[in-house]
Amino acid sequence: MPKKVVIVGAGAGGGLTASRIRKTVPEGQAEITVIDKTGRTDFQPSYTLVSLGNREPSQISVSMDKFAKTGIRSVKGEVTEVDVRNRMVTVGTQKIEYDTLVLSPGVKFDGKSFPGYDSAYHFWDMENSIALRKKLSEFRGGKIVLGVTTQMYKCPPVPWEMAMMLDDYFRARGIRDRVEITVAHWARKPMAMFGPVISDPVGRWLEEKGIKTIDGFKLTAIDGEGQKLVGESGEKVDYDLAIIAPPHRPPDFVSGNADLASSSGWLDSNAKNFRNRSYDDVYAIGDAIAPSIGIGMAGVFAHFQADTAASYVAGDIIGSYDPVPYNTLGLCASDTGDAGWIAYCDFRHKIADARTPFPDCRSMGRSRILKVAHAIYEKYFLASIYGGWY
Amino acid sequence: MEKPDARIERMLGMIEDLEPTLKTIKKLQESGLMSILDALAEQSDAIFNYASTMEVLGAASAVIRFIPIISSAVGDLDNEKLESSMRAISWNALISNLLAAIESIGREMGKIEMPSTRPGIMALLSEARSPETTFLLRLMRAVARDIMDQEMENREGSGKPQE
Repeated sequence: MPKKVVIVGAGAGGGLTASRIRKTVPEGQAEITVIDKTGRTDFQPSYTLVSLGNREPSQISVSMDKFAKTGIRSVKGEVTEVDVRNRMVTVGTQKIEYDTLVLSPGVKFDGKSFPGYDSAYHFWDMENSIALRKKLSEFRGGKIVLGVTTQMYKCPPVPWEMAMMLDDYFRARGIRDRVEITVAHWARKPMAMFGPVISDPVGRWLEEKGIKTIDGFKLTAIDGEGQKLVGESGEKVDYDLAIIAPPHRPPDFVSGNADLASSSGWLDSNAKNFRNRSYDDVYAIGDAIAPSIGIGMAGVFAHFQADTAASYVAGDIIGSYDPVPYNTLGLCASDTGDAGWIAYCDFRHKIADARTPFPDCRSMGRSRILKVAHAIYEKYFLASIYGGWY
Repeated sequence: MEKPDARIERMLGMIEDLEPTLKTIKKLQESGLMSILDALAEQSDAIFNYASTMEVLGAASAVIRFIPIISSAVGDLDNEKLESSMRAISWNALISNLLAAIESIGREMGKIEMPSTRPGIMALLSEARSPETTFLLRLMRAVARDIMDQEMENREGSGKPQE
Protein backbone atom coordinates (compact mmCIF):
# COMPACT_ATOMS: atom_id res chain seq x y z
CA MET A 1 0.00 0.00 0.00
CA PRO A 2 1.43 3.40 -0.91
CA LYS A 3 1.84 5.82 2.02
CA LYS A 4 -0.44 8.83 1.95
CA VAL A 5 1.67 11.99 2.11
CA VAL A 6 -0.37 15.18 2.48
CA ILE A 7 1.34 18.54 2.08
CA VAL A 8 -0.39 21.78 3.08
CA GLY A 9 0.85 24.72 1.02
CA ALA A 10 2.23 24.88 -2.52
CA GLY A 11 4.73 27.69 -1.96
CA ALA A 12 8.47 27.46 -1.47
CA GLY A 13 8.18 24.99 1.41
CA GLY A 14 5.26 22.80 0.33
CA GLY A 15 5.94 22.91 -3.42
CA LEU A 16 9.58 21.96 -3.06
CA THR A 17 8.79 19.26 -0.49
CA ALA A 18 6.32 17.66 -2.91
CA SER A 19 8.76 17.67 -5.81
CA ARG A 20 11.66 16.43 -3.65
CA ILE A 21 9.60 13.51 -2.28
CA ARG A 22 8.34 12.64 -5.76
CA LYS A 23 11.91 12.50 -7.09
CA THR A 24 13.02 10.23 -4.27
CA VAL A 25 10.03 7.98 -3.63
CA PRO A 26 8.40 6.08 -6.51
CA GLU A 27 4.67 6.50 -7.15
CA GLY A 28 3.94 2.97 -5.97
CA GLN A 29 5.29 3.79 -2.53
CA ALA A 30 3.85 7.26 -1.93
CA GLU A 31 0.60 8.92 -2.89
CA ILE A 32 1.26 12.66 -2.62
CA THR A 33 -1.48 15.29 -2.23
CA VAL A 34 -0.79 19.04 -2.12
CA ILE A 35 -3.44 21.37 -0.71
CA ASP A 36 -3.30 25.11 -1.30
CA LYS A 37 -5.91 27.84 -0.97
CA THR A 38 -4.66 29.75 -4.03
CA GLY A 39 -4.22 26.68 -6.22
CA ARG A 40 -0.88 27.90 -7.50
CA THR A 41 2.78 28.48 -6.70
CA ASP A 42 4.05 32.05 -6.89
CA PHE A 43 7.66 33.12 -6.86
CA GLN A 44 6.96 35.58 -4.06
CA PRO A 45 10.24 37.55 -4.20
CA SER A 46 9.04 38.88 -7.57
CA TYR A 47 5.90 40.53 -6.16
CA THR A 48 8.00 43.72 -6.03
CA LEU A 49 8.55 43.40 -9.79
CA VAL A 50 4.84 42.81 -10.42
CA SER A 51 4.07 46.01 -8.46
CA LEU A 52 6.49 47.96 -10.62
CA GLY A 53 5.19 46.49 -13.88
CA ASN A 54 8.40 44.56 -14.61
CA ARG A 55 6.73 41.15 -14.42
CA GLU A 56 3.34 39.86 -15.43
CA PRO A 57 1.65 37.64 -12.82
CA SER A 58 1.72 34.73 -15.29
CA GLN A 59 5.53 34.93 -15.46
CA ILE A 60 5.99 34.22 -11.77
CA SER A 61 3.14 31.84 -11.10
CA VAL A 62 2.38 28.21 -11.99
CA SER A 63 -0.93 26.41 -11.49
CA MET A 64 -0.88 23.37 -9.20
CA ASP A 65 -2.55 21.44 -12.03
CA LYS A 66 0.97 20.96 -13.40
CA PHE A 67 1.67 18.61 -10.51
CA ALA A 68 -0.50 16.01 -12.27
CA LYS A 69 2.23 15.12 -14.77
CA THR A 70 4.43 13.85 -11.94
CA GLY A 71 1.60 11.93 -10.32
CA ILE A 72 0.98 14.44 -7.54
CA ARG A 73 -2.66 15.15 -6.70
CA SER A 74 -3.58 18.77 -6.02
CA VAL A 75 -6.53 20.14 -4.05
CA LYS A 76 -7.43 23.83 -4.22
CA GLY A 77 -9.00 24.92 -0.97
CA GLU A 78 -8.38 26.25 2.51
CA VAL A 79 -7.53 23.87 5.32
CA THR A 80 -9.99 24.44 8.16
CA GLU A 81 -8.88 21.72 10.55
CA VAL A 82 -6.06 19.27 11.17
CA ASP A 83 -6.77 16.35 13.49
CA VAL A 84 -3.36 14.85 14.25
CA ARG A 85 -4.83 12.21 16.57
CA ASN A 86 -6.91 10.73 13.74
CA ARG A 87 -4.55 11.76 10.92
CA MET A 88 -7.12 13.81 9.08
CA VAL A 89 -7.08 17.13 7.26
CA THR A 90 -10.32 18.99 6.55
CA VAL A 91 -10.65 21.17 3.46
CA GLY A 92 -14.17 22.57 3.24
CA THR A 93 -16.37 19.48 3.17
CA GLN A 94 -13.54 17.14 2.18
CA LYS A 95 -11.77 14.94 4.73
CA ILE A 96 -8.31 13.87 3.60
CA GLU A 97 -6.47 11.10 5.45
CA TYR A 98 -2.70 10.95 5.75
CA ASP A 99 0.14 8.75 6.96
CA THR A 100 2.60 11.65 6.86
CA LEU A 101 1.66 15.32 7.00
CA VAL A 102 3.91 18.22 5.98
CA LEU A 103 2.61 21.65 6.97
CA SER A 104 3.91 24.66 5.10
CA PRO A 105 0.80 26.85 5.06
CA GLY A 106 2.48 30.26 5.14
CA VAL A 107 0.84 33.09 7.02
CA LYS A 108 -2.51 34.82 7.15
CA PHE A 109 -2.63 38.58 6.58
CA ASP A 110 -4.81 40.31 9.10
CA GLY A 111 -5.10 43.94 8.00
CA LYS A 112 -8.46 44.29 9.74
CA SER A 113 -6.82 43.94 13.15
CA PHE A 114 -4.61 47.01 12.62
CA PRO A 115 -6.14 50.50 13.08
CA GLY A 116 -6.54 52.22 9.72
CA TYR A 117 -4.81 49.52 7.69
CA ASP A 118 -7.48 49.54 4.97
CA SER A 119 -6.02 52.79 3.60
CA ALA A 120 -2.58 51.23 3.01
CA TYR A 121 -1.22 49.27 0.05
CA HIS A 122 1.21 46.34 0.03
CA PHE A 123 3.07 43.88 -2.18
CA TRP A 124 3.18 40.81 0.07
CA ASP A 125 0.77 38.82 -2.12
CA MET A 126 -0.15 38.72 -5.79
CA GLU A 127 -3.56 40.41 -5.59
CA ASN A 128 -2.27 43.36 -3.57
CA SER A 129 0.81 43.68 -5.79
CA ILE A 130 -1.50 44.09 -8.79
CA ALA A 131 -3.50 46.76 -6.92
CA LEU A 132 -0.29 48.58 -5.95
CA ARG A 133 0.90 48.44 -9.56
CA LYS A 134 -2.18 50.36 -10.66
CA LYS A 135 -1.80 52.88 -7.84
CA LEU A 136 1.89 53.46 -8.66
CA SER A 137 1.22 53.88 -12.37
CA GLU A 138 -1.25 56.69 -11.51
CA PHE A 139 1.11 58.33 -9.00
CA ARG A 140 2.30 61.69 -10.28
CA GLY A 141 4.20 62.96 -7.24
CA GLY A 142 4.09 63.26 -3.46
CA LYS A 143 5.23 61.35 -0.40
CA ILE A 144 5.58 57.57 -0.43
CA VAL A 145 6.23 55.95 2.94
CA LEU A 146 7.17 52.28 3.37
CA GLY A 147 6.73 50.61 6.73
CA VAL A 148 5.67 47.52 8.65
CA THR A 149 2.97 46.78 11.20
CA THR A 150 4.85 43.92 12.79
CA GLN A 151 8.30 42.72 13.84
CA MET A 152 7.79 39.44 12.01
CA TYR A 153 7.00 39.81 8.33
CA LYS A 154 8.01 38.02 5.14
CA CYS A 155 11.41 39.00 3.70
CA PRO A 156 12.85 41.41 6.30
CA PRO A 157 15.09 43.41 3.88
CA VAL A 158 12.27 44.17 1.42
CA PRO A 159 11.04 47.60 2.66
CA TRP A 160 14.46 49.14 1.97
CA GLU A 161 14.92 47.09 -1.22
CA MET A 162 11.56 48.28 -2.53
CA ALA A 163 12.47 51.89 -1.66
CA MET A 164 15.56 51.61 -3.89
CA MET A 165 13.50 49.96 -6.64
CA LEU A 166 10.96 52.78 -6.42
CA ASP A 167 13.79 55.30 -6.76
CA ASP A 168 14.78 53.61 -10.03
CA TYR A 169 11.14 53.33 -11.15
CA PHE A 170 10.45 57.05 -10.75
CA ARG A 171 13.79 58.02 -12.30
CA ALA A 172 12.83 55.97 -15.37
CA ARG A 173 9.49 57.83 -15.46
CA GLY A 174 11.33 61.15 -15.19
CA ILE A 175 9.46 62.27 -12.05
CA ARG A 176 11.87 61.28 -9.29
CA ASP A 177 12.27 64.92 -8.26
CA ARG A 178 8.54 65.05 -7.50
CA VAL A 179 8.53 61.94 -5.30
CA GLU A 180 9.78 61.75 -1.73
CA ILE A 181 10.54 58.19 -0.63
CA THR A 182 10.82 57.35 3.08
CA VAL A 183 11.25 54.08 4.96
CA ALA A 184 9.82 54.31 8.49
CA HIS A 185 10.83 51.13 10.27
CA TRP A 186 11.30 49.83 13.81
CA ALA A 187 14.94 48.82 13.10
CA ARG A 188 17.47 51.24 14.60
CA LYS A 189 19.30 51.37 11.23
CA PRO A 190 18.34 50.11 7.75
CA MET A 191 18.57 46.29 7.82
CA ALA A 192 20.13 46.47 11.29
CA MET A 193 18.89 42.94 12.01
CA PHE A 194 21.66 41.63 9.73
CA GLY A 195 24.49 43.52 11.42
CA PRO A 196 26.79 46.29 10.20
CA VAL A 197 28.23 44.28 7.28
CA ILE A 198 24.85 44.64 5.59
CA SER A 199 23.42 47.68 7.34
CA ASP A 200 26.30 50.09 6.68
CA PRO A 201 26.46 49.80 2.87
CA VAL A 202 22.66 49.76 2.56
CA GLY A 203 22.49 52.95 4.64
CA ARG A 204 24.97 54.60 2.28
CA TRP A 205 23.07 53.47 -0.83
CA LEU A 206 19.80 54.84 0.52
CA GLU A 207 21.45 58.17 1.26
CA GLU A 208 23.06 58.24 -2.18
CA LYS A 209 19.62 57.74 -3.76
CA GLY A 210 18.00 60.45 -1.66
CA ILE A 211 15.80 57.99 0.24
CA LYS A 212 14.90 59.13 3.74
CA THR A 213 14.76 56.77 6.70
CA ILE A 214 13.01 57.13 10.02
CA ASP A 215 14.75 54.55 12.16
CA GLY A 216 13.27 53.08 15.33
CA PHE A 217 9.73 53.99 14.20
CA LYS A 218 7.16 51.66 15.75
CA LEU A 219 3.93 52.04 13.81
CA THR A 220 0.80 51.80 15.95
CA ALA A 221 -1.93 53.14 13.65
CA ILE A 222 -2.62 54.56 10.20
CA ASP A 223 -4.73 57.69 9.98
CA GLY A 224 -6.18 57.18 6.52
CA GLU A 225 -8.23 60.36 6.51
CA GLY A 226 -5.38 62.61 7.61
CA GLN A 227 -2.88 60.52 5.60
CA LYS A 228 -0.48 60.06 8.49
CA LEU A 229 1.33 57.12 10.04
CA VAL A 230 1.19 57.25 13.82
CA GLY A 231 4.13 56.00 15.86
CA GLU A 232 4.34 54.59 19.37
CA SER A 233 5.02 57.96 21.01
CA GLY A 234 2.37 59.75 18.98
CA GLU A 235 4.83 61.00 16.34
CA LYS A 236 3.29 61.38 12.87
CA VAL A 237 4.62 60.82 9.38
CA ASP A 238 2.73 62.35 6.43
CA TYR A 239 2.11 60.29 3.32
CA ASP A 240 0.32 60.37 0.00
CA LEU A 241 0.85 56.65 -0.54
CA ALA A 242 1.52 54.26 2.35
CA ILE A 243 3.03 50.88 1.45
CA ILE A 244 2.86 48.89 4.65
CA ALA A 245 3.43 45.21 5.49
CA PRO A 246 0.17 43.89 6.96
CA PRO A 247 0.02 42.04 10.31
CA HIS A 248 1.13 38.43 9.81
CA ARG A 249 -0.71 35.76 11.80
CA PRO A 250 -0.65 31.96 11.87
CA PRO A 251 -3.46 30.34 9.84
CA ASP A 252 -6.64 29.76 11.85
CA PHE A 253 -6.28 25.96 11.82
CA VAL A 254 -2.95 26.41 13.66
CA SER A 255 -3.74 29.04 16.28
CA GLY A 256 -6.59 27.11 17.84
CA ASN A 257 -4.85 23.73 17.80
CA ALA A 258 -2.76 22.83 20.87
CA ASP A 259 -1.31 19.76 19.11
CA LEU A 260 0.13 21.90 16.32
CA ALA A 261 1.03 25.23 17.89
CA SER A 262 4.06 26.07 20.00
CA SER A 263 3.91 28.47 22.94
CA SER A 264 4.35 31.34 20.46
CA GLY A 265 1.03 30.39 18.82
CA TRP A 266 2.79 29.54 15.57
CA LEU A 267 3.45 26.06 14.20
CA ASP A 268 5.57 23.86 16.42
CA SER A 269 8.75 22.50 14.82
CA ASN A 270 12.48 22.21 15.36
CA ALA A 271 15.49 23.20 13.28
CA LYS A 272 16.91 19.69 12.95
CA ASN A 273 14.30 17.44 11.35
CA PHE A 274 11.20 19.72 11.41
CA ARG A 275 9.00 17.14 13.13
CA ASN A 276 6.27 18.11 15.57
CA ARG A 277 7.50 17.41 19.14
CA SER A 278 4.62 15.03 19.93
CA TYR A 279 3.61 13.60 16.56
CA ASP A 280 6.53 12.30 14.52
CA ASP A 281 4.34 11.83 11.44
CA VAL A 282 3.77 15.61 11.30
CA TYR A 283 6.37 17.98 9.89
CA ALA A 284 6.19 21.78 9.79
CA ILE A 285 8.34 24.18 7.75
CA GLY A 286 8.32 27.66 6.23
CA ASP A 287 7.07 31.04 7.42
CA ALA A 288 4.61 29.56 9.91
CA ILE A 289 7.43 28.03 12.01
CA ALA A 290 9.73 31.08 11.86
CA PRO A 291 8.76 32.53 15.27
CA SER A 292 8.96 29.06 16.88
CA ILE A 293 12.53 28.36 15.76
CA GLY A 294 13.76 31.95 16.03
CA ILE A 295 14.45 32.73 12.40
CA GLY A 296 12.99 35.23 9.92
CA MET A 297 10.31 34.59 7.31
CA ALA A 298 11.80 34.07 3.87
CA GLY A 299 11.41 31.68 0.95
CA VAL A 300 15.03 30.60 1.09
CA PHE A 301 14.58 29.27 4.63
CA ALA A 302 11.52 27.31 3.50
CA HIS A 303 13.56 26.07 0.52
CA PHE A 304 16.32 24.49 2.59
CA GLN A 305 13.84 23.30 5.23
CA ALA A 306 11.95 21.51 2.43
CA ASP A 307 15.15 19.73 1.35
CA THR A 308 15.65 18.44 4.89
CA ALA A 309 12.02 17.62 5.72
CA ALA A 310 11.56 15.80 2.37
CA SER A 311 14.63 13.67 3.05
CA TYR A 312 13.21 12.62 6.45
CA VAL A 313 9.82 11.84 4.88
CA ALA A 314 11.59 9.77 2.20
CA GLY A 315 13.47 7.97 4.97
CA ASP A 316 10.19 7.23 6.80
CA ILE A 317 8.76 5.65 3.63
CA ILE A 318 11.63 3.84 1.95
CA GLY A 319 13.47 2.93 5.12
CA SER A 320 17.04 3.83 4.22
CA TYR A 321 17.64 7.33 3.01
CA ASP A 322 20.30 9.62 4.40
CA PRO A 323 18.75 12.81 5.74
CA VAL A 324 19.87 16.08 4.21
CA PRO A 325 21.28 18.20 7.07
CA TYR A 326 19.49 21.53 7.45
CA ASN A 327 21.38 24.29 5.67
CA THR A 328 20.97 27.32 7.93
CA LEU A 329 22.12 29.73 5.26
CA GLY A 330 19.88 32.59 4.18
CA LEU A 331 20.52 33.84 0.68
CA CYS A 332 18.90 36.95 -0.77
CA ALA A 333 19.29 38.02 -4.40
CA SER A 334 18.29 41.60 -3.86
CA ASP A 335 17.73 44.60 -6.07
CA THR A 336 19.09 48.10 -5.59
CA GLY A 337 17.18 49.43 -8.57
CA ASP A 338 20.23 50.22 -10.67
CA ALA A 339 22.09 46.99 -9.82
CA GLY A 340 21.86 43.62 -8.14
CA TRP A 341 23.24 42.58 -4.81
CA ILE A 342 23.42 39.26 -2.98
CA ALA A 343 23.44 39.08 0.80
CA TYR A 344 24.15 35.74 2.45
CA CYS A 345 23.99 34.99 6.13
CA ASP A 346 24.59 31.93 8.28
CA PHE A 347 21.88 31.75 10.95
CA ARG A 348 23.37 28.72 12.75
CA HIS A 349 24.34 30.64 15.91
CA LYS A 350 21.18 32.74 15.86
CA ILE A 351 19.02 29.60 15.81
CA ALA A 352 21.09 27.98 18.59
CA ASP A 353 20.95 31.08 20.81
CA ALA A 354 18.24 33.69 20.31
CA ARG A 355 20.35 36.25 22.17
CA THR A 356 22.86 36.32 19.27
CA PRO A 357 22.42 39.90 18.03
CA PHE A 358 22.61 39.12 14.33
CA PRO A 359 23.63 36.31 11.97
CA ASP A 360 27.03 36.01 10.31
CA CYS A 361 26.43 37.97 7.09
CA ARG A 362 28.41 38.91 4.01
CA SER A 363 27.46 40.26 0.64
CA MET A 364 28.51 40.35 -2.98
CA GLY A 365 27.84 43.17 -5.39
CA ARG A 366 26.43 45.75 -5.85
CA SER A 367 26.96 44.94 -9.49
CA ARG A 368 24.92 45.03 -12.69
CA ILE A 369 25.94 41.41 -13.32
CA LEU A 370 23.99 40.41 -10.23
CA LYS A 371 20.72 41.85 -11.56
CA VAL A 372 20.44 38.57 -13.40
CA ALA A 373 20.77 36.48 -10.20
CA HIS A 374 17.18 37.20 -9.15
CA ALA A 375 15.87 36.22 -12.61
CA ILE A 376 17.89 33.00 -12.63
CA TYR A 377 16.62 32.00 -9.20
CA GLU A 378 13.04 32.82 -10.27
CA LYS A 379 13.28 30.41 -13.20
CA TYR A 380 15.17 27.79 -11.23
CA PHE A 381 12.64 27.89 -8.38
CA LEU A 382 9.58 27.23 -10.55
CA ALA A 383 11.41 24.64 -12.69
CA SER A 384 12.64 22.90 -9.56
CA ILE A 385 9.06 22.36 -8.37
CA TYR A 386 7.22 21.65 -11.62
CA GLY A 387 9.99 20.77 -14.10
CA GLY A 388 10.09 22.60 -17.43
CA TRP A 389 10.67 26.31 -18.00
CA TYR A 390 8.20 28.99 -16.95
CA MET B 1 67.30 -4.88 -14.75
CA GLU B 2 63.66 -5.55 -13.92
CA LYS B 3 62.34 -8.95 -15.09
CA PRO B 4 59.51 -8.90 -17.71
CA ASP B 5 57.07 -10.69 -15.34
CA ALA B 6 57.70 -8.17 -12.58
CA ARG B 7 57.20 -5.34 -15.05
CA ILE B 8 53.85 -6.79 -16.18
CA GLU B 9 52.81 -7.22 -12.54
CA ARG B 10 53.72 -3.60 -11.86
CA MET B 11 51.80 -2.39 -14.93
CA LEU B 12 48.75 -4.46 -13.93
CA GLY B 13 48.94 -2.85 -10.49
CA MET B 14 49.01 0.59 -12.08
CA ILE B 15 46.02 -0.24 -14.26
CA GLU B 16 44.17 -1.43 -11.17
CA ASP B 17 44.99 1.87 -9.44
CA LEU B 18 43.69 3.76 -12.42
CA GLU B 19 40.50 1.74 -12.66
CA PRO B 20 38.19 4.30 -10.96
CA THR B 21 39.45 7.01 -13.30
CA LEU B 22 39.02 4.77 -16.35
CA LYS B 23 35.48 3.97 -15.24
CA THR B 24 34.75 7.67 -14.93
CA ILE B 25 36.05 8.33 -18.41
CA LYS B 26 34.02 5.43 -19.78
CA LYS B 27 30.87 6.79 -18.14
CA LEU B 28 31.52 10.24 -19.49
CA GLN B 29 31.91 8.78 -22.97
CA GLU B 30 28.80 6.65 -22.67
CA SER B 31 26.61 9.37 -21.24
CA GLY B 32 27.44 12.14 -23.68
CA LEU B 33 27.00 15.84 -23.11
CA MET B 34 23.20 15.86 -23.11
CA SER B 35 23.04 13.15 -20.48
CA ILE B 36 25.42 15.09 -18.29
CA LEU B 37 23.36 18.25 -18.62
CA ASP B 38 20.21 16.26 -17.93
CA ALA B 39 21.78 14.71 -14.86
CA LEU B 40 23.00 18.11 -13.72
CA ALA B 41 19.46 19.46 -13.96
CA GLU B 42 18.11 16.40 -12.16
CA GLN B 43 20.51 16.88 -9.28
CA SER B 44 20.32 20.68 -9.22
CA ASP B 45 18.37 20.57 -5.93
CA ALA B 46 21.22 18.86 -4.16
CA ILE B 47 23.84 21.00 -5.85
CA PHE B 48 22.06 24.24 -4.87
CA ASN B 49 21.78 23.12 -1.26
CA TYR B 50 25.33 21.80 -0.91
CA ALA B 51 26.89 24.68 -2.85
CA SER B 52 25.16 27.28 -0.66
CA THR B 53 27.87 27.57 1.94
CA MET B 54 29.58 30.68 3.23
CA GLU B 55 32.87 29.42 1.73
CA VAL B 56 31.55 28.80 -1.77
CA LEU B 57 29.60 32.08 -1.79
CA GLY B 58 32.70 33.85 -0.49
CA ALA B 59 34.69 32.52 -3.44
CA ALA B 60 31.91 33.56 -5.85
CA SER B 61 31.94 37.00 -4.27
CA ALA B 62 35.69 37.31 -4.86
CA VAL B 63 35.24 36.28 -8.49
CA ILE B 64 32.43 38.81 -8.95
CA ARG B 65 34.76 41.57 -7.71
CA PHE B 66 37.57 40.29 -9.93
CA ILE B 67 35.70 39.97 -13.26
CA PRO B 68 34.77 43.63 -13.89
CA ILE B 69 38.31 44.84 -13.12
CA ILE B 70 39.94 42.44 -15.54
CA SER B 71 37.27 42.64 -18.24
CA SER B 72 37.40 46.42 -18.18
CA ALA B 73 41.19 46.47 -18.40
CA VAL B 74 41.32 43.79 -21.11
CA GLY B 75 38.49 45.46 -22.99
CA ASP B 76 40.40 48.70 -23.08
CA LEU B 77 43.61 46.90 -24.10
CA ASP B 78 45.40 49.18 -21.68
CA ASN B 79 48.44 47.39 -20.28
CA GLU B 80 49.14 50.01 -17.68
CA LYS B 81 45.56 49.87 -16.41
CA LEU B 82 45.66 46.06 -16.41
CA GLU B 83 48.85 46.09 -14.35
CA SER B 84 47.52 48.55 -11.81
CA SER B 85 44.24 46.64 -11.62
CA MET B 86 46.10 43.40 -10.98
CA ARG B 87 47.99 45.13 -8.18
CA ALA B 88 44.71 46.39 -6.70
CA ILE B 89 43.24 42.92 -6.41
CA SER B 90 43.20 41.52 -2.92
CA TRP B 91 44.99 38.31 -3.83
CA ASN B 92 45.22 37.28 -0.23
CA ALA B 93 41.45 37.39 0.19
CA LEU B 94 40.85 35.84 -3.21
CA ILE B 95 43.17 32.91 -2.69
CA SER B 96 42.06 32.26 0.87
CA ASN B 97 38.48 32.14 -0.38
CA LEU B 98 39.45 29.75 -3.16
CA LEU B 99 41.28 27.59 -0.63
CA ALA B 100 38.24 27.52 1.61
CA ALA B 101 36.09 26.60 -1.39
CA ILE B 102 38.40 23.77 -2.43
CA GLU B 103 38.46 22.45 1.13
CA SER B 104 34.70 22.71 1.35
CA ILE B 105 34.23 20.86 -1.95
CA GLY B 106 36.61 18.14 -0.80
CA ARG B 107 34.75 17.85 2.50
CA GLU B 108 31.27 17.87 0.98
CA MET B 109 32.02 15.41 -1.82
CA GLY B 110 32.00 12.53 0.62
CA LYS B 111 28.57 13.50 1.91
CA ILE B 112 26.86 13.71 -1.46
CA GLU B 113 24.97 10.52 -2.03
CA MET B 114 21.77 10.86 -3.95
CA PRO B 115 19.77 7.81 -4.95
CA SER B 116 19.03 8.01 -8.63
CA THR B 117 17.56 5.60 -11.14
CA ARG B 118 19.87 6.83 -13.88
CA PRO B 119 23.51 7.84 -13.81
CA GLY B 120 23.39 11.42 -12.58
CA ILE B 121 26.11 13.95 -12.03
CA MET B 122 26.38 12.88 -8.40
CA ALA B 123 27.11 9.34 -9.51
CA LEU B 124 29.78 10.71 -11.79
CA LEU B 125 31.19 12.81 -8.98
CA SER B 126 31.16 9.76 -6.78
CA GLU B 127 33.12 7.88 -9.41
CA ALA B 128 35.47 10.81 -9.70
CA ARG B 129 36.41 10.46 -6.04
CA SER B 130 39.44 8.48 -7.11
CA PRO B 131 42.98 8.81 -5.69
CA GLU B 132 43.84 10.83 -8.80
CA THR B 133 41.11 13.38 -8.07
CA THR B 134 42.23 13.65 -4.49
CA PHE B 135 45.76 14.21 -5.74
CA LEU B 136 44.58 16.95 -8.10
CA LEU B 137 42.65 18.67 -5.31
CA ARG B 138 45.72 18.52 -3.07
CA LEU B 139 47.88 19.85 -5.88
CA MET B 140 45.49 22.78 -6.38
CA ARG B 141 45.60 23.49 -2.67
CA ALA B 142 49.39 23.35 -2.62
CA VAL B 143 49.70 25.71 -5.59
CA ALA B 144 47.16 28.10 -4.08
CA ARG B 145 48.98 28.06 -0.73
CA ASP B 146 52.29 28.71 -2.47
CA ILE B 147 50.85 31.72 -4.31
CA MET B 148 49.43 33.03 -1.05
CA ASP B 149 52.74 32.59 0.80
CA GLN B 150 54.57 34.45 -1.95
CA GLU B 151 52.01 37.21 -1.78
CA MET B 152 52.49 37.47 1.99
CA GLU B 153 56.27 37.60 1.59
CA ASN B 154 55.99 40.33 -1.04
CA ARG B 155 53.74 42.37 1.19
CA GLU B 156 56.00 41.96 4.19
CA GLY B 157 59.03 42.85 2.05
CA SER B 158 57.40 45.97 0.65
CA GLY B 159 56.31 47.12 4.11
CA LYS B 160 52.72 47.56 2.93
CA PRO B 161 49.95 46.81 5.35
CA GLN B 162 48.51 43.33 4.93
CA GLU B 163 44.96 42.55 3.93
